Amino acid sequence: MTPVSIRDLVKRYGAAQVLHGVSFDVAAGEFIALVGPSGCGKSTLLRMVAGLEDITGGTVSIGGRVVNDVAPKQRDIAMVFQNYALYPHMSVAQNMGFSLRLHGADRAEIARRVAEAAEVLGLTAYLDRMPGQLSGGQRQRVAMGRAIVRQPQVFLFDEPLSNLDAALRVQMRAEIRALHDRLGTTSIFVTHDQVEAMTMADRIAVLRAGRLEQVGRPLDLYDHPANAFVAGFIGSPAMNLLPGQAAAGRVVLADGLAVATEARAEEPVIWGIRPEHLELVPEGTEGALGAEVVRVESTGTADFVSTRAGGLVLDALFTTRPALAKGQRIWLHPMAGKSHLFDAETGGRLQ
Amino acid sequence: MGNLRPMGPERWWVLVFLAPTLLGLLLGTFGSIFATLGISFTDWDLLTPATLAGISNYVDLPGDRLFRNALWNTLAFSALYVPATVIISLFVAIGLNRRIPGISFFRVAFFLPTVSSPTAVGLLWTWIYAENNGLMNRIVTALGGDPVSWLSRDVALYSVVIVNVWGAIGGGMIIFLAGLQSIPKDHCEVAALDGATPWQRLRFITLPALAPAMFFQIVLTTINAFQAFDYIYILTRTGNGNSTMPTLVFSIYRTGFRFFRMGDAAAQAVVLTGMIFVLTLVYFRLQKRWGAQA
Repeated sequence: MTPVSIRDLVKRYGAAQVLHGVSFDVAAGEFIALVGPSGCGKSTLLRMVAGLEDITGGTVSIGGRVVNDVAPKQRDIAMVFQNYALYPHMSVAQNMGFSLRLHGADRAEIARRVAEAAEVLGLTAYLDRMPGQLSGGQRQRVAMGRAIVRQPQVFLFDEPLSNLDAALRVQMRAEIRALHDRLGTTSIFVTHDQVEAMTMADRIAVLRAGRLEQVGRPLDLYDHPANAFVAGFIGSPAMNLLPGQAAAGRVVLADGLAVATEARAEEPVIWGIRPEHLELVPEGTEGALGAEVVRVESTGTADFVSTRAGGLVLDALFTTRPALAKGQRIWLHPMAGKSHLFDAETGGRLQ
Repeated sequence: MGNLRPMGPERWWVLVFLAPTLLGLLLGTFGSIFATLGISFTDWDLLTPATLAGISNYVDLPGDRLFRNALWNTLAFSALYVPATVIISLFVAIGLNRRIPGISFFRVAFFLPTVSSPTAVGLLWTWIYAENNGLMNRIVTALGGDPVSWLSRDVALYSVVIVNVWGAIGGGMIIFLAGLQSIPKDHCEVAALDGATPWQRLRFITLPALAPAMFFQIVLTTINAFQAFDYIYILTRTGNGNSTMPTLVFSIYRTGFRFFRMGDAAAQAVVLTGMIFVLTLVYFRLQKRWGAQA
């Protein structure tokens, strides 16, 4: 098993700088997710690891060896693309065995390893089919199969699930994770979907505008986001982030609303609370915020309630199915110890 | 969207507006085809009324020395011209399928012959091939060789193939460039990651992806080869209106409008059409089998 190390990685296209010195390590056998909004540079970073993009500055090391000037084929990595990139004129078996064939493996060896991978992925019945005759999920599996027959040092995934429908995406993310647990190959998985990142990865690296915002285990990012951006990006529905003024033991929000918090010096802050950390309480409860229900969305598992408290929008999530109607006045109380404080200017965590 | 199909009285107007084109197609194209077929079964010298000849014009064709010569020239020309055009335009397209400064200039340069007047360009080439003071012979003599008679009977075939290939590269290049640019970028990237050398990428990824373009190009080039006339005529015509390398189309023209044997000329035209038709059918068969394998 092979570690990957990214050091001060910089990417420039002419005057446009896409990556501004990103550093993180992937431990041997680790599954790391690279997540961020569109255009944050996550795919570019992955392609630099693969060798498909030149490195402007910094280093990429695979297994302790700097590979900046090593050709893609000599990096011993396999990549799964968003569009699968299956060769349309080759059967499933030929697609999966292509890299072995290029390396001059003999027919029996290719057939054995393709059969093995097909068995793992449930593709045995489809080996003679052409890619055009497969469903999206099956093509996705073939792309995976093509990667695993090589037995590479590192797997790279570039948004491989974005072309699948919702149900299949949930199924495939479990399958990919199970495959990782079985093979133990170091994996870097790029996605814009924080739920995918949360459910699959050992650790998550959050990128924004070419800068690394935070690296950590999924629940650490959820519980202790390093800044307001990560707080808003990780977790669904997103955290409420409201501007306010810290004063003795409380934060005064707009319109005179106030919430209790640890004692801080007087300074402008961003107060954050996740929708699931707001409780529905009776009128007059101390520390509760009065709010008017604007919208209720029920999924069965939970009720997502959007409210207006003074001039502020406050979202809440209840699993208790309270019967709420639009326009109804309710009282919301932040659970003790669940609120977050960020610097109003830098967005950095204050606690 | 809504329904864009013409309704009610509009339909008549559609016919009225299409009439000039439809008439041209009906009389010009289909009319000529049926007229040629009809004339091929007659003897007609354009001056006296045509008389029915049955299939005698066809029966006499194999014995016609001039026709046999023209047929042989056309086959020899096609055997050289088709592979040369397809292969060279494929490699030009591969060479020009990249983002480098000035690439548009080269694409235009290769495409220019396609949109130039064959007569003008043909005349230019007669100067290049001229025995006295021609460009080619100046180069040959400058290098210490003896002047070559480029358009004499022995060499004309190759000289003519060179000019025709030169003129056809642009058209083939455009087809192949379109095919190359429709290959998804990530196919080449996957291949690169899998360790394919440039040759392996060409052999296993690019060429199979270009198969439809290649097929189209081969059919088109073959049809053009059998119908080749303009460059060849301008380059090889002799003072008495003959040619040092008569092709089938030249033979049809000569038989009809110089010998005034319209029936024989029409029969040759029908045979030429039949040959093109059969070849195209064979290509289609091959493509089907090839496509099923791939």
